[in-house]
Amino acid sequence: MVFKIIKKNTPLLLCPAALVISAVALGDSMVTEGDLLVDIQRVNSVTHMDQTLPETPASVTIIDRRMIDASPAVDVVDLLRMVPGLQTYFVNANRPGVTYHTLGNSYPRRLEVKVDGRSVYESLFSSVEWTTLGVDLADIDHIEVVRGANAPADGSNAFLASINIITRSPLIDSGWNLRGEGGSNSIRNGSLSYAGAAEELNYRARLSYRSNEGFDNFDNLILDDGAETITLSFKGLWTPSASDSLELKFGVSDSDIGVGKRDSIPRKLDYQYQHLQWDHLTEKGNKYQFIAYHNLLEITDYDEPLGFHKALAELPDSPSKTALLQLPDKLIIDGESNGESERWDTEFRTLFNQWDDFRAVTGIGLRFDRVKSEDFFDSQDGISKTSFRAYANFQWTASDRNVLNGGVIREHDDSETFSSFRVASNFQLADNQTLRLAFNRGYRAPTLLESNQTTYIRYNEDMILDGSIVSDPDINPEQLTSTEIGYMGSFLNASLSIDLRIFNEKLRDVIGERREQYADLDGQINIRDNTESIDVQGAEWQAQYRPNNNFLVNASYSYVKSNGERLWRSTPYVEYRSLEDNSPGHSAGLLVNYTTDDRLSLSTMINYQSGMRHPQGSVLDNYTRVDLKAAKKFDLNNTDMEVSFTVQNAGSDYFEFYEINAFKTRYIFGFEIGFP
Amino acid sequence: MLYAAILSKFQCLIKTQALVVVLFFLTIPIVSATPNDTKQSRVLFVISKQAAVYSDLTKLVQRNLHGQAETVYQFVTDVERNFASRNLNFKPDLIVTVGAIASETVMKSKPAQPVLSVLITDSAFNLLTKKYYGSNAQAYAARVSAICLDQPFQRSIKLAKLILPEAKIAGVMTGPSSKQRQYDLSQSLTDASLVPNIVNIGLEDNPVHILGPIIKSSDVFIPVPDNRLVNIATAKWILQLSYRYKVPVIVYSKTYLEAGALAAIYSSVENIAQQTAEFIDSRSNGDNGGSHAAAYFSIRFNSSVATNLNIDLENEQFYRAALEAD
Repeated sequence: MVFKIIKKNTPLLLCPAALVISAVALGDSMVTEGDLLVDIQRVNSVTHMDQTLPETPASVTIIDRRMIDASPAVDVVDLLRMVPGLQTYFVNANRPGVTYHTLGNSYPRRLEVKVDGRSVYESLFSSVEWTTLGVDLADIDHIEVVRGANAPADGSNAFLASINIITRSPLIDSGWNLRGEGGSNSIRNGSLSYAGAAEELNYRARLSYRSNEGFDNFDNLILDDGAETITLSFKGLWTPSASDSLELKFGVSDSDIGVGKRDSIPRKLDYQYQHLQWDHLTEKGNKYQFIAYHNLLEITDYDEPLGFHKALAELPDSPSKTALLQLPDKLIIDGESNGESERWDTEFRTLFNQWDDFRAVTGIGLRFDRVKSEDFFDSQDGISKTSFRAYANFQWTASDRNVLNGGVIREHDDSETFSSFRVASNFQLADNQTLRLAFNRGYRAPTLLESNQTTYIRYNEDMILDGSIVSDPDINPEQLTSTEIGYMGSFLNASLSIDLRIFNEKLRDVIGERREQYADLDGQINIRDNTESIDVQGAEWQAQYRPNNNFLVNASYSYVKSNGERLWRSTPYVEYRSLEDNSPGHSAGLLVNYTTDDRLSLSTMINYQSGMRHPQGSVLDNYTRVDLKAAKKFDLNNTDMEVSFTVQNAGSDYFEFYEINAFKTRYIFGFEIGFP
Repeated sequence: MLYAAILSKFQCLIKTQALVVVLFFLTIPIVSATPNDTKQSRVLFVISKQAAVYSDLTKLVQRNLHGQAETVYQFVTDVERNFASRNLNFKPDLIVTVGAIASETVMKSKPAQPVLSVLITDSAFNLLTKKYYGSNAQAYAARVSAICLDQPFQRSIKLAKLILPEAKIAGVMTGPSSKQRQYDLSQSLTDASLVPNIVNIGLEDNPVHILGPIIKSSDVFIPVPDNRLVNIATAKWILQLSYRYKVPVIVYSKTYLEAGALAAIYSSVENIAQQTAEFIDSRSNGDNGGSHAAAYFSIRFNSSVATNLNIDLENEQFYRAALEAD
């Protein structure tokens, strides 16, 4: 019996790259069938191996250039609304948060975000500062979102999911490009880029400016959460030989944003990065990669200075207050608070493509993290951590219908060693239909902040007035156990694709805060510790229909049921609190775009999210947001031009994260001019 | 009256029975002769390795040959390392090698039976015949044949001309393995009224530096398949430069197309299987060998690239019909 159903005209190129035969045995001067059958380009964020979507051990959403152009997005985070299961929200108007399924607090910290493979997750806040990324929408080639834990490839930060933003090659563009946007909330965005070549170096440089006034004031509350950001980025490419390429990227940004819930304070973020990647391809098809990068974030918060006597005045009268008032007055909170977060990372990766039906990638990496903040660590000295990682992922085509994936990473830092792993079986049900079973066990190491935070308000070295947060000395890594069933189908000559994921995720030893009695003015302190256990079950799907190049429909839906409990208080008595409703039960998205033959593009994007209790935020109702965009492209005397008009939230107001962040209808005009 | 009717019925019955008897005796020699007159053919498929593309191809060939009236086929498929013992035990009338490694194994042993090499490039077949038979002619004399995997370059040119009738300059990239074809490629382009703009990429060359000016000055670009390293190493740069300079690229594989080329023309498994089955069924034992170009082809287009380049594509059938008209 012939098991494999062979579709008429099945292209040879669909066959795995592992079929490629070695030309070496037969002589280098001839072309073999393997040379014609070789795969050119694929998804690689899941395992770092080039894989087709039906081969990957996790669900992946790809936001490509067509979707980016079609979407009414103004910022990178807007694009992520198209990904099922991904929660995007605005803690402040210019401080977005992104998480997957759960734990979407004001500093979500369980999602790895990379730009061209460089982790932009920073250690001081243990989160991503999206305003500092310096990635203009025009610079993005595509975004790969791995929906599910991805520690075996991306390390412990990819605890729940990972996002890799891949920027456009400098070879794609040439000449000048000028973009501008302006509209409601005093949105003023502009960028100027140039792509060209200097000798053998091809490059693109972009200077961007972004500003807005943030959310409108709420009732009588003045929300000063606007932003002003200037970014300079550079991406260079040198290909010294057919088998070698070198990419050099660097950038600097300077951001001033307003942060905080009710009493917004100005925050200044100075960010810089340098990133180098060398790729070497061998004659057998193997590849070596060397990646090194450096990120440095300097933060300054400006607040009202607080004097000792003024602070005491806020307290009710008591004998201790009277006694303390006898002490001389002095500043106990400076008006300026500084912090630094720095990362050096290097990785050497080897991709093996030479064997039949078996491919693998191995990597070793070394990372140095350093943070400094007197407010967070009660010290003027920096705290650092050196961590080492080694990983391996493999893909074995066990039969015509079954692809097995396995991956393991071992991570070691100054205090502990732990391993995460993933196994998956992708079974081909029929032509272009794949069923995936995957199991994941991952650990996430406490960040420098989580394991070392010591936030006190002191009168002097010997007297603590208020203990705010202190890390437990025995804090453990968080643990995730997840199982999933995935389905991927492609129909109607690949114009319709469907991706379904049913998941069960168990999070243990989740790091949070518990309250404990403490000998200070308010009598209590928060201890950062392993306080939470969360079970997440649900299902999500996305479907994309592209019958032709004029029409695009992208739909997604996610159902998440999250249950858990949190150790709320450990002294004087133990109290647990429920963590229900911390995830949106239902969320859905729909993007519809039609582009006429004369390049008029009309888009609608609808997002729905059911009501939820935002961790560290407010309990908010469900909302439906409708965004609209019309764009027209022209070609005028060899100059590419585009004008656009975008309406964000074309309905009634809804609220983001806090009950005071009212997202009102925004109107944004845009233009783009490209000079060759 | 009744008697006449009965007699008529009886006569009719007699005639019918007689007809049946005559037909019966006529049929016996036909039926009994079938086993002796139908040809028997034993075909050994030697595949380069146990992988889907090789086994799919052999299955499709067998499916195409199944139920042929003229010949009853017996098939055996095995990997190349088992060739010697299989050849001894099975005693095939024809050996079909699938892939270059299988071809080399079989050619090395110079079997007495005719050999057909499929899923092999023209380049690999020529090199192997020279290595093991001295020349193509001697290999043909030894009844060695091939059905080439690579599509004739003229077919790619014709597709380019159909898509871009106003194109005047055609850029072509060769590599270390295809460099010797430059004259033929140039001639083919000239014959099609295109100005050749041919560049060769060596392993030590800076591909972007060399390809950039060539692609920029071309109306259409056609990379020629070379060895794997060159194909992988240059594909990304070719596609990115073609995007920058808005020059359409006509390629030889579907993944290359999906990565950003405008059109692809290539041999699918089904195309090769069909030609292989036709070759096997029409061959005669006394025939000399020969190298046969790919008779069938598959074409695909990337509509988003077409839109980006402002190219109006006809439907696939239009191009297929025009290409088949030759």
